[in-house]
Amino acid sequence: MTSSAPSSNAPGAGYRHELYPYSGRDAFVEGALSFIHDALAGGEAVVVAVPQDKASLLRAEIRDEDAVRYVDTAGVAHHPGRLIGAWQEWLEEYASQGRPVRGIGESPWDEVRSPAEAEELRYHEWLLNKAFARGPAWWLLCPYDIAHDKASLAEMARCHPELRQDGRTMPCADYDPQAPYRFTPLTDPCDPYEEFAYSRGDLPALREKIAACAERHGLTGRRLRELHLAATEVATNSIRHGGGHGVLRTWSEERRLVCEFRDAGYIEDPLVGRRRPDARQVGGRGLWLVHQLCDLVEIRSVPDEGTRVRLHTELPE
Amino acid sequence: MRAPRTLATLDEVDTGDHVCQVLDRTDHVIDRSRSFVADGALYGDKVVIVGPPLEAGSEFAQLVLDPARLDGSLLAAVRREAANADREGFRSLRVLHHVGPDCRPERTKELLRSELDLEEFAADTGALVVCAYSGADQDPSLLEQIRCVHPHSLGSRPTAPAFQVYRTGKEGWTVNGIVDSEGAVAFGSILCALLAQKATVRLLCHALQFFDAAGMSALADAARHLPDRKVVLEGTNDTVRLTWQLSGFAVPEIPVVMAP
Repeated sequence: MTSSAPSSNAPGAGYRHELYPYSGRDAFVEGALSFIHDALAGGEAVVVAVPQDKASLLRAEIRDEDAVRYVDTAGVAHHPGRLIGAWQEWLEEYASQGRPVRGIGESPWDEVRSPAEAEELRYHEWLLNKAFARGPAWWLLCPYDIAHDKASLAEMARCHPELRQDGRTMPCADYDPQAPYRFTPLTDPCDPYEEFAYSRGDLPALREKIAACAERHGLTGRRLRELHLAATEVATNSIRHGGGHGVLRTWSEERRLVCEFRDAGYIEDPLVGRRRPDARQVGGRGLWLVHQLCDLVEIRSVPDEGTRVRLHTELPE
Repeated sequence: MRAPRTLATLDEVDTGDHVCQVLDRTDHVIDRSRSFVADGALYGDKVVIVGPPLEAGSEFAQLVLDPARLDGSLLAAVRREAANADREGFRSLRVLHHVGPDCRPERTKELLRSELDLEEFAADTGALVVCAYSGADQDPSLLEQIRCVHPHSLGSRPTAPAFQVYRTGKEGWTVNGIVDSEGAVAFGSILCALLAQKATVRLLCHALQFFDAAGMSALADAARHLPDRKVVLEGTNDTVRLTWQLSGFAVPEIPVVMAP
């Protein structure tokens, strides 16, 4: 493979985030292998985070070894809010050695469970540019199968500063580093939904409200405890930072329980809750836990309009 | 087995109880003391009233222990009285602790320490301790913290606080209820007070219903507040253990052990 960008991925070169649109398995293998071979030739390590079937294709060509590590994405692939923390962890080992790293990351686009999940996966791609902008240099290739969904290619291109085409890397014309992410509007709550206004002192009542709704849909035990914890963290943010109060709405849609929290606050940092906290950090764990404990989290925050946070929990069959 | 309770009247108290009574403006110290002393006589208990000296000639003057004039700590004084009660053939000791207002910043810490001592004393000796606070004269946040270290509540509208920390067995402290952002500061203060006295604090969390990130941060801060300390939480559910780990607290520099 040739590349117009320098093949060296030395520290200080910055974060590179490259979209690789392909069609079919052969093209996937060809592009990914070429990227791995280039990395190995330059003494770089590679972390491969792709769906199991794609990993098997690559493993048949290049085995798991010191410089090429296939990571298990099962716990994070369908949870976009967990992916930046996962990449932090996957890269840590190599970063601690001071070794340049590349990554190959592909979401299971053909197994996405809802339009909301697809939107959050794309938003994650956009957030990656901010998350790693100031960290150690590394280079992430994002294969994207246009045979599955060509319609979303333009949206994906807006999230990637670079594009790989015909074996060459080039700047992505659709990417604007200054532009905000263009969210698809949230869907309306499904009928019937319930509302509960909360403020200081109402957290136990809020949890009771959620428990009543969850239990009607068969959600109990550990999953309910996790939802309670996530809901409490979001509602606490409303009380502390969102004007002192908020409104909870709950409803179910497509075998998921959705809890929406609205308040008057504004979340300035789009990466809040996406990075793994360390032991010494003061606060800032609430939204991180929310992303780790819920199946899907949607956050929309606009100055002067307020914040909406939706927590999705899959319901038992 | 001691169990937390809310009590409507003083008639419901029992040996080993450590009761927080929040007094209304209409409650009179002498009246409260009179009924307390009468109940002590009825049950064959020795009675001690801890508080400022009463008026000269008061019928209870000889029962009063003035904390300002004690030779040693309050705990040592009530332990001495409990030993005397035993020797003198009383069934047990009853302590009525009148706590007056005090605006000094170190007061919260001192009171928490004193209340935890009294809680340990009541649990270990079977003495009955009633701590009477004037609701109107006390800082509400201080009262909330104080209520958390009493397993029993008494008053005109007794309600249990969001969580309680009380002595269980010889070495453990039960934590029940809800420790969330609204109670995290109190929880941290109580833990610091416990850790100031003992290198290892054992918390029994089987009845802990909810523990959020703010509560866990308070636990982590308290555990590393002093060197060579350890907090062991027993009876934690899998959500608490998972959240602790996800929060980044499961590291050697935070001496906390979480066990099922």
